[in-house]
Parts: sequence; structure tokens; C-alpha cells
Amino acid sequence: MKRLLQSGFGVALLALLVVVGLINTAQLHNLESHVAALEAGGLRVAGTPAAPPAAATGSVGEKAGEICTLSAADEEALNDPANLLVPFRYPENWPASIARGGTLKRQIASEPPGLNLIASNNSADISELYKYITSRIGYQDPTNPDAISPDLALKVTKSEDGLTYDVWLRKGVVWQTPAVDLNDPRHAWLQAPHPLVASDFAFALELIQNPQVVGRAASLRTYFEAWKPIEVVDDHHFRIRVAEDLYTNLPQVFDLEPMPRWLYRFDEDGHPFDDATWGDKQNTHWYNQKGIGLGAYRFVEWQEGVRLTFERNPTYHATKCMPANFDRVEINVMKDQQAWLRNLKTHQLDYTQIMPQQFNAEIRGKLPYLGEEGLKLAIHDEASYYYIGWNATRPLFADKRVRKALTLAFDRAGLVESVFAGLGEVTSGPFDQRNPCYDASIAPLPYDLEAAKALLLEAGWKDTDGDGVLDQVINGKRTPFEFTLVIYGGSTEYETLARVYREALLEIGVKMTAQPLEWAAQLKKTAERDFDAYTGAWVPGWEIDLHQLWHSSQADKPESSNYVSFRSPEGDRIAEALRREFDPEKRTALCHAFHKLIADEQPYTFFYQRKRPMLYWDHMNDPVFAKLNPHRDARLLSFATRPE
Amino acid sequence: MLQYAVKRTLWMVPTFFLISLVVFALINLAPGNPGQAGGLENVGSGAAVQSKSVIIFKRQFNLDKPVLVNTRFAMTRGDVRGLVATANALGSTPTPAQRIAAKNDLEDGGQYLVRHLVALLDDADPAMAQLAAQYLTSAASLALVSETAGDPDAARLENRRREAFNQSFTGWACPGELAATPCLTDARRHWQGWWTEHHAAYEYTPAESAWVFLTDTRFAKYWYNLVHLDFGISAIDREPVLAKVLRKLKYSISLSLTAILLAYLVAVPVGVYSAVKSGSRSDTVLTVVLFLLYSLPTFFTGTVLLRLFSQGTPFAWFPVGRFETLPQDPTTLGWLVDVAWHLVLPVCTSASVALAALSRYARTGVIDVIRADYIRTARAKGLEEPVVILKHAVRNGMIPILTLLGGILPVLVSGSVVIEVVFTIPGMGSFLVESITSRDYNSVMAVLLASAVLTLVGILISDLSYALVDPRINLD
Repeated sequence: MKRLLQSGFGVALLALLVVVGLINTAQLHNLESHVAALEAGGLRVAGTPAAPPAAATGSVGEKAGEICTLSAADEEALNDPANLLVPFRYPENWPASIARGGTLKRQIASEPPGLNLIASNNSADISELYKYITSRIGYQDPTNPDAISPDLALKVTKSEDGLTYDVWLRKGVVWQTPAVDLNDPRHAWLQAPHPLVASDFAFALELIQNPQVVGRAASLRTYFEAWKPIEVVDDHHFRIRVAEDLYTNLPQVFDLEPMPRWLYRFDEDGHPFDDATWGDKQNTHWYNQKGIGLGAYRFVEWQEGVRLTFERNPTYHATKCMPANFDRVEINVMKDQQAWLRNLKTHQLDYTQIMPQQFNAEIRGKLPYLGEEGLKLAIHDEASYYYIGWNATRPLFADKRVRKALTLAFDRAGLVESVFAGLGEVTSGPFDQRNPCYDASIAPLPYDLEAAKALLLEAGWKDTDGDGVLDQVINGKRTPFEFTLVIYGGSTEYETLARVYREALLEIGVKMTAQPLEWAAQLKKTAERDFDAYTGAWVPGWEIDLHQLWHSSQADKPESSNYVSFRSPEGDRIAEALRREFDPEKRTALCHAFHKLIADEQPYTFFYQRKRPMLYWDHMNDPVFAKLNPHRDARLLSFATRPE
Repeated sequence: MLQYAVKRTLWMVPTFFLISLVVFALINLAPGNPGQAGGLENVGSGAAVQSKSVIIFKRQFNLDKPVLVNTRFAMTRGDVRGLVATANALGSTPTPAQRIAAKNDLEDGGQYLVRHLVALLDDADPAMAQLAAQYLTSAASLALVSETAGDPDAARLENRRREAFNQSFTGWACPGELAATPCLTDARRHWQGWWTEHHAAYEYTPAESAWVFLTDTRFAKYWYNLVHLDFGISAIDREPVLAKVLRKLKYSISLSLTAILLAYLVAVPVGVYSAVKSGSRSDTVLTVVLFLLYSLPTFFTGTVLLRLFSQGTPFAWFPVGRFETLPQDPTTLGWLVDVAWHLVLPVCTSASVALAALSRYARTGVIDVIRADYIRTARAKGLEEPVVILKHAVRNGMIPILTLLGGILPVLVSGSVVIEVVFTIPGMGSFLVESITSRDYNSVMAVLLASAVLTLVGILISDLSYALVDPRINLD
């Protein structure tokens, strides 16, 4: 009896240990997944994904920088001066010759939970996959995000008062055939081709606004919350009404992607869902593990844990200008970074991204990699920035001189070079460095411990008790300068970073303790403002809106993104003005003023903007990278010669 | 013997219950929740609409319930007033953590808040009264029932009824700027009429309270479903967890079973050989090699094997990962060969660790026996050495390592995270890790409970097998 109890207890203990052990293993997920989570849950990648180009066999005389028009109707619509769309142009570095066809083999680090554009949980990885199969109202030039050309729509106009947007759709665009056996009598109801109609956009908005739908809808809802129902004028014309004339409206109009009502409002046997529960049904819709869209590629098959397969969409509407470069695309699920390189080397992949630590250890300066001739390396910028956020509500960090001193003590250039494999650029403000908003004349603060010391002294921090740590009387209490820095758990880079930083801080009399935290735990801390300082990253959108991160109204709101409680009347003024400013030059001036303010206030210690390496075989053309996430937009990749 | 087995089996039930309690509490109390993976948390400014979604999501997964015991029936009007004040920073300056906690409590309180919120409509502070009207619409609303379990037609009718009920009061929320008096007067009138009609459903007798205390909790709901063999659905893709687990099981079982088999096949002869040659140079060499193997982590062994045998440096005999290539028309035999070809390296990696331990056990077992009197007797009666060793020594010496088999059972299910990741095999191990990272409680519970059951069964089997093969052990 006693023995039995003991063994029962032993087993329970064992289970406990297993769980604890597994939670530790789970933390091994590196920085990458944090960033993915950031991109999914944190900042919306505003206006990032544009529509796909591509499809067809006939080679067109496409050349870098040249204009291509799909049809006479396009030309006519583009002649209308009210049209907000501009002609499509091939990117500047478009390859001179493309060998179309063949199968592109690529990898993906994590498997998508589903392929429903709105009801599946989205993450950064998946937004990249959607680009293959979907098309949007306009095609955003990946290398020049300001230019949006006709795609599903021929024309988009904005009313005089800025409160109405009219969208005219291209005629003859057809939804892809669902990836089911159409000969099966059960699916007979899906046989007829379905043209794209205006109500598909109205349906998309209904999906986003229905609180029963979770997944990506939950994060989209924040942005589309205030929209009134879409007014369908006729099958090819609809109208969007907004409450206020804001700069961010237009990018949002372009963000709205159509959803096939004829598919998602019905169960597998073709019976419509109840009005009471149709929203909830989207979360478990029978077609969620398959994809559908209007893009260059069509979903074929998903082998769980193995690969997703797409093929050229035979009914694609924009074949003339941007045909699909491949007949098939195989997206292999590979969680292990080492596996990416192994599979690349054995030609299971045509290209792969690489993680910084791998790059440093195995590739940097070692090309040709592993003695393989024909393997090429390309490095591209990423539209994100990394930073340390200082909690302004903590007395320790209330003084901007202190925050500046802490930046001066952070050897950012040295860390980027040694720890992050030189894959990045030290940055000084909250924008993508390639965005006109970024003021390149504002240089990042140098690494200067003497200057840091002087600033701290100026702010009243002295070592009065000779223990090597600065102190000051705050609220009548002698307070030593000690704080905790929350870092990404399980990232060796961030652990090294914290060690280096701690040493430097000790030299200026500041004691820092690093606290590695798993992603969920860090989210909780930042939402509750329960931290001194934390390491973070943002993916700012191309069309800048400062409200979410920097407005003081967001500082008071728990769970909003102004974690550091940045409050500045000047900042609020700029943020509000920027929302209502449409003139590009004035916008840039506002942004630059904000950049200057931020550089002076140092609510964050801006760290660096990341670069990412990619390895590819020389049968591929040198990749054209998109400025916005996803950067390795596969529609911009192509074969120079077809692999066997 | 039989009595013992039955007793042990019965004891497994409370043990299993305890394990499930510990694991369930641990998972549920860890920071984060499935909503985060669902993109529902931390989205910032999406006030009202967002919160509506969060409530629906939480109710679907019982996340609105307290983990182990429910004391919400005992809340007072003062408590609820305090929560509303804190969540909206009315007349006080709570910390963000307090505000978030209060907001969650209001989202989760549901039916238990209704009677207090109705009373708060008459609060002296108009701002409080208006907030009460807003919270009422979500607190009084009924969650939709699942249409996949039970009778779908009845469920559909029930959902229509519930949706109509919820719709009946959505217009009474009085949203917008605080203290819009006419709207508030209307709301009061509507809700008071409603309350006269429905109040019975929101008042609890002591017996009902006691029932609620134990049963309206996450753990109780989980066990209720478990008893009905319902493991729930994944919070990530809403697929039934059981179906998912069964699919992953194919990979993990073939991998572990083959690895265990291989480990035993190699370990026993190696162990016997080193026992017989105990102390010789070959024994020392074997010992060193085995200890080396034992101390090498699997991710290292796996990577080295891949490098040597699949990347063409120097050999490219095996694929660089995956479970199968999935040829166009797989015949059963063709498929088996294909899978076997893929499994060679992962199985070797997996077996390398177990092999070292097992062969040590085998060696010790045989050495113990070789010194026994009956072996001397066997030799004395002139039997040939191989016969002595194989027939007399090995059979008895293998008892300890046979019983080890029981302990290996759970590995069949839990799989090996490292090997699955290195060899890109979509098995249970990586599934479990992903589920933990995304706080997919139902998936985590299903995998861990399955391993718990197998651990229990394994321990039972090894205890029983001791008694079966070794007459010296008497269990009764």
C-alpha cells in the first residue's frame, strides 16, 4: 500500500518534471519565433502584403523599369486623373531573362494552422504563403511601396471630403477552382466557375467584423472596426465609407482582400450556415485546411508536417504582366535551421534563408559554402527595428539624460558586428531606414562611457557610499541605480548582448540584471507595464501612423502598445497631424520632427535594423527583394536556367 | 497475482486523476493563454469589438472558468462595483496589472455578475451605472453550444434560440461617451423589465452554490469531457485533438518501436559478450565506446550521421530527413522499403543512447548470474561453455533488462523532440513542444495524459513481469 502510494507520487512528480523540462525545451525556440509572434500579434504590418503578379507560359518582353498594362480597359482607367492607381512597372533590378516553368522548392519554418485568409491564425510566415494564392485590389510595387497599380480593381477613387472610396473591379476575374474532387457528387455544387464580384469584398468585411470569427480576423478587427458595411453598387463597383478622413484609410482600403462568399457561407454539402452561427463556423470551416484566392498560384495539396504544394493558376487574370515564374511551388515544412542547409546542399531546396548564428559560424567569409560551387549568397534589409524600451513610469528612467546615458553605454555597433554577424545597421529612430520618414541626418549616439558618466552625474547620480553603484535620494529614499532588463528567453545572442551590456554599465556604476523570459511571459509583463526595461522589436508599416506606439492616450491604456508610457505633448501633436496630412513632403517633415524628438527623448534605446542572408543555387536569378515583409516574395524569384 | 494486478489497476485511476490534476494546474497557471496564439490578446486599442471576440473565444474553451474551484457565486455587489471601477480607473488610479486583472474578471464573470450589474444600474454614480449597462450585455449573453457533438439539429435550434436571446438586449448597452442620461434611463427600464422575467436563473441556493463551487470550473469541465472520451479541439486550428494525436502517433511509434527493437537486438549480444569477456581488453574498449555513445547528445549524433551518410561527405546513402518520400503510386512493400530507408539514420541515432544503457544492464545481469552456484554446477557437469552461457546464464541474466521494457512504453507516445526536429519528422515530440509554446491546452493535456497512462501501464507491466519471470518475487 505504502509502496503503491509512493510509486503514484513518484509518477506525478515525474509528470511534473516532464512538463517543466518541456517548457524549458520550448524556450529553445529562437528569436525568430518571437519576431514572428511580434509581427502577428503586435504591430500590424500595415500595407505590407500587396497582390501577387504572375502566371502563364508565353514570355513577354518584360524589362526592368518598363511599364506593362493588362488590357485596354486598364489604359482607359489609368487615364482618369482621379484614379489613385498608377501603371504597373517592372522593378528596377528585374532579371534580364527568366526561364519559366519547373518546380521551385523552398522551406518554411513553421506550419500554418490553416489557409483561411481571415479565420486562420495568421503569422508572418503565413502572410508570405498567402501572397502566392491571393490577389488584392491593387498591386503594391514590392520595391517601391508607394506605387500601387491595377490588379483586381481597375480604378480606385476618393471623394472630395475624403469619406468615400469607390472601387471599380476588373471584369472576368474568376475564383480559383477549389482543391476538391469535383466529380464527387458531394462537391458537385462547387463545379460552376465563380466570378469575382463586389459582394465578395462586402463579405470579407462582414467576416472581419463578426466577433465570432477569431484567427487573423481578431487583429484585423482593430483596424476595420469603424468601417460601415460596404455598399455594393453593382457586381463590379463598390463603395467604402469611413468616419474620418485619415491618411491611413487608403492603405486600409488596399488591405481589404476579397473572400469567396459562395464557399465560406456553406458547409461541405453546400447547405448555407445559420445566420446566428455562421461566424463561428468559419473557425472550423471544412475548407480551412485548403486555400483559395485569385492569385498566380492555386492551392493543390497540404501534407501535414511535410509540405504544401501550389501550382500555376490557369485562370489567373494578370498573366500578361506578371506571369507565375514556376509551374509548381513546393513549400517544405522544416523546423530545424540546420535542416535548411542540409536540404539546400542536397538540392532538396532551391534557396533558403539563414539564421544569424548559423551565418556567423558556417558561412560568413567562407563562400563557396562547404566547398559547393554554385551556391550564392544575397543579403537584404528587413523592415524591422530592434530596441530596448525604458519604462518611463519608473523613477529611475524618468529623466531623459539617464536614458541617453544608458544608450551611450550600449555598444551597438560592436554588438551588431560580433554577436549579430554584422547583419544589421545601427539605427536612431522608429522607422525603417529606407522609408522617407527616417531622417538619415540624425546619427545614432556613439558608444561613449565617459559621456554617459557625465550625463548621469548631471542627472544627480553619484556613488555616495562607495559601493561602486551610483545612487540618489528618490522620494526621500536612497536608491541605488539597479534595474532588470527583460530579454528574449532562449536566445544565445541576447544572452551575450546582456552580458556585454552589463559589463559596460558596471563601468559607469549601474547594476543591471538580465531576466530571460519566454515570449508569453514577456508579453504579460509589457502589457501590465511590470518591467524596468525590455528588449523588443517592431515591424513598422510603410505608411507611418504614430498613434499606436507613441500617443499619450495609449500610455494610459493597459495592453496597448505604448509599453514604455511615452508621453509628449509635442509627440501627440505630430502624431495627430500626421494622421491628417496627405502631402508627401509635409509628411516627411513631420516624421523628421518626430524622429528628432524621439532621438532627444530616448524613450527607447534604438538598437539596429536587421539584415537577412539568403543562400541560393546559381540556377536561380539573383533575387529581387521586396522592401516590405515578406521580403523574399516568391513572385519576385525566378530561375535563370531550369533545374533538372 | 491476479488479485495484485487488479488492485494495481484500480489504483491507477486515482493516480491518473492526481497526475491530470497536477499537469492541468501547471499548464493553466503558466503565463500566457491560447488566446495569444489566436491573435486575440495584446492587440492594443481594439476596445469593445476585441473584447467581444475574446469573451466568445474564452467561453468556447472554458477559459472563462476558474481553474480548480469556483467561488464567483459569493461575489457581492461591492466586489463587482470595485471591479468595474478598477477596470475603468473610475475614481482611483489602479496599476495596469490591476486594470487588466479586473478587466479579465469582468469578462469571465458571466452569469455570476448579472444580478449585481442589474443592481448597479441604479448606482449613484451615473458613470458606474452606464458601465454596468455595457457590461450587462456581455455578462448576460449566452455562449453558443457546439454543433459537432451530440444531436446537431437540436444544437442548431438551441443556438438560434440563444442568439435571439443575446440579440434581444444588444441594443441596451448605452455605448459612447459616459453619462448620456436619456439612454441610461432607457437601459434601466429595459433591464429591470428583463430582470423581473429572468431573475430566477441568476440566484443561487446553497445547494446550487456547492454544485457550482466544484463543477463550474475548467478542471471539472475537462474531466466531464474526458469521461465522455472527448479530448477537446485544438485552440490553434480547431481540429479535434484526438484525431491529430492519432495522426502523429504513426510517426512516433514507428520510430520508437524500431529504435527500441534495434537497441535490444544489439545490446543483448554486446552485453553478454562483455560479461563473458569481463575485464578483458575488448570489454574495456566496448565499455569506453558505449559510454561515449551514451554521453553524446542525440542532436549531435544525428547531425554527424546526416553529415556522413546523407550529404555526400563522404556518402549520400540516405535521405536528409522526413519519414517517407510519398511516391506517386505506393505499393505496400514499396512504401515499407521507402519508410525503412528514411528511418535508418533516425533509428540509429535514437537507438545509440538506449543501446549503451541496455547493454550495461545486460552485462551486469549476466555477470551476476555467471558467479552463481548453478552455473558452476552446469560447468561442472561438463556442459560446453556456449551452452552454459546461452542456456543457463543469459536466460536468467536477461530478467532485469526485459523488465526495463515497461518503462520504455511512454516514449512510444511522447516521441523524441530532438530527433523529430533534426530529421524533420512530424511526430508527437515536436507536436507537444509546439502545443506548449502556443499554450494549446487541450493538445498538451492529450499528449501528456497519454504518456501518463502508458507510464502507469509500463510500471505495472514491469512489476508483473518481475513476478512472472522471477519466482523469487512474490507479490501477494
